[in-house]
Amino acid sequence: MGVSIVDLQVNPRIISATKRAGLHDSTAVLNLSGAELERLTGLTSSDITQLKDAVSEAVLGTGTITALEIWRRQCSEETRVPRLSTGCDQLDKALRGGLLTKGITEIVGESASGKTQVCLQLCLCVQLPVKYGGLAGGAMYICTEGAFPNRRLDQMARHFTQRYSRVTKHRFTDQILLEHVADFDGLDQCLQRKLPLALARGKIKLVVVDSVAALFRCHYDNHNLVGRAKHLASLAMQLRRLADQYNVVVICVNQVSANMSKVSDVSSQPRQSIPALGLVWADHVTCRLMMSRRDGYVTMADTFRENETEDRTVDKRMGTESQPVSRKRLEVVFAPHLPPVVFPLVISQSGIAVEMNGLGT
Amino acid sequence: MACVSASVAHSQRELLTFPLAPAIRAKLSSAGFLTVADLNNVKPSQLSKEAGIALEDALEVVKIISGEGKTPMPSQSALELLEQEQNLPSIVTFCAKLDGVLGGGVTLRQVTEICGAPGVGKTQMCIQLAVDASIPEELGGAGGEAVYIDTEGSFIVERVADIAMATADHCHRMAASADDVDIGNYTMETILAGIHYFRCHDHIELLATIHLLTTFVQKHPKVRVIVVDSIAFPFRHNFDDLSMRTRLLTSMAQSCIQLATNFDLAVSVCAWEMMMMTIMMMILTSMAQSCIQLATNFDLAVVLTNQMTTRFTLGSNGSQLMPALGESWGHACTVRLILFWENSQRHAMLYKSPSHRETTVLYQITTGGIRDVISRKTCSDHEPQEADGTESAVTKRPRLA
Repeated sequence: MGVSIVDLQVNPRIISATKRAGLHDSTAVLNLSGAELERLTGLTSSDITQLKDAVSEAVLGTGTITALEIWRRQCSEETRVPRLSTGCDQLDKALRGGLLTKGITEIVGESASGKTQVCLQLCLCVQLPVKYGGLAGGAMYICTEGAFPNRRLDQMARHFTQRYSRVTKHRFTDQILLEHVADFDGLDQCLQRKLPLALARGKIKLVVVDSVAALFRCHYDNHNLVGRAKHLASLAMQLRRLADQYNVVVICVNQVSANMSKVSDVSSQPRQSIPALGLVWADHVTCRLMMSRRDGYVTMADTFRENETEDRTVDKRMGTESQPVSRKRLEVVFAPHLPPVVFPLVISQSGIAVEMNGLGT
Repeated sequence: MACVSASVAHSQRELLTFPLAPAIRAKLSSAGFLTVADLNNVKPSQLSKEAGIALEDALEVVKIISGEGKTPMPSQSALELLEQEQNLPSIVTFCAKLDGVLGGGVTLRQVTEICGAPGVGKTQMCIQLAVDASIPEELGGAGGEAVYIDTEGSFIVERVADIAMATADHCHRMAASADDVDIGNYTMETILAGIHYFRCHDHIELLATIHLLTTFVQKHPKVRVIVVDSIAFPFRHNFDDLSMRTRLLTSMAQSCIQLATNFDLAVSVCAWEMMMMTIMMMILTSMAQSCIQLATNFDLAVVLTNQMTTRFTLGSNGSQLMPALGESWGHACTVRLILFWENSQRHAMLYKSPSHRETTVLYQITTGGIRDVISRKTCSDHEPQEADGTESAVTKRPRLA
């Protein structure tokens, strides 16, 4: 870690004095105050300023960038910062292009609110060509809760193959790496070894951890909250680092816990249930999406009565038009670039979509 | 009279207090040079002979000591300071109530800390301030540039563009309504061009960036605000990595001996913990110091964000939310602003300020950025507020329809 002192472009006298003081890399120099460096190395303050300047420049490397340059780069088609489509146009539009390829996106919700369904759909979407909103890469699905819903994935994949038959011919299920992890050892092994390796090869563009909460909620009791906080933070740091380094989407699924205190510090309203794992985790989350159930069923035909989309024709072809679909709700709790909004969702055989008629409810 | 006593004080200043290399310092004192008066009328060649130091060193000693004598800190009366301060523009937040609480916005030459739970709007506030630093002087703004240091990776440029666009529109509207105010080509693009973005992945990069800021600000004299979002993130989390701690510890072992004498390193992890806390505090305070120096030397505002942490108390309350990084950090900032949710509305509380009393106000976040909360009754006559009100009303609707 850090830049070696020997490589710096400063007077050799300063370098040798610094080395004699036992400071060999940039980290050591930057962690000390100027006065301490003077005392350790026996150099004058102007020498120390030179040294610190050189070290800082070496650590930071490239020059600065203005927001305009970032903005222009995003606008130009070829170097666009990629977003991952959710497979539903309306949702993508509201999410300003889809999910971010940096930071951690959290999907939180009660059980049976459709979290895993969203994750599965994203695993399929990520494989689409960039032109169609995907990232043209595979997915790694780290499963810590129960069994992976293989058959459901297969069902969705068949719909996907139909829907995008003109775009791509590859088999969607081939590019999803599945990791079943039952304990912390397995999880650490996976995140420290397997995942960086897989990412380095450039085939993986989406990482799903379903769920973070399961392991942390059962392996730590209430007496060891400090330990849990540290572990959680190191896990989140690792995921963020990988996301930044390889420009991949990182999805973490989280559970909820009942809101006993009725305080509203995490969300806009006092809710029945609040995301689990507390502030320690929430500080690491870049975007938080919350899912919940809505009562009742509608049929696919009801859902898309108003607009004849391509999805609908596929559904007609597959004969699923009259299938009942379950209704969910997706809410943006916080995200640096999004206003808090709520979408009514439906989950059908083919996957998730925004319910057109449900806007009022 | 004051002048005479000052020069007397200077001639009696001990040489130990000057920034000289320790070896030279020792040689000077053993040769009998103890105060500035002892060096009066001593030529460098003479000094080098008498103290047994190289001629270059002697030259430097004389330079340092006379150089410090030549430029004494100019003293100012409180009245002058007040006038200066009143002439300084401040950076508005676009929420009139919040500006009122802060005394016209975020003040230059001060370090303002914004604390809040995730999702309450710290980043939005930061982006708003970075954009607002560019409001033209004709409209009472600072008309400058901004430095944005992002440690969390939450700087999404589309959002900045939104806010910049709204701000540019608003300024043009204000310029049109006022007579003979021409703000020229003040557009979203010029605003974005004035925001210098630094991404820091860990505390080392943050330290390096802050160290280089002095030179950067000298090169870009228009910078009026430095935003660090967030200061807590790298310091709270990287220091949990045990292997890095070990590396830090071994590399710093020598310098830390003095500090560590109180703590027995070999005994327990707890002592470690305390030592790491001491080091972290040192780094933090020195960082705070350099922020304050930047703020005063270059007449600019420094804005930091901090995260919240849960503090468990033994009392009846159980637990409460507190700004992270502990009590000693709390001393570092001049102004501390805490953002929180209550009754599904965003509140901002001025928690610490040398010049204004503790107050809590409401604010909201719209597509255009930070705005006042408009109650239905009051939004009738005041024009700019009305404009904001319609703007926010538009954004309240889900964007789906």
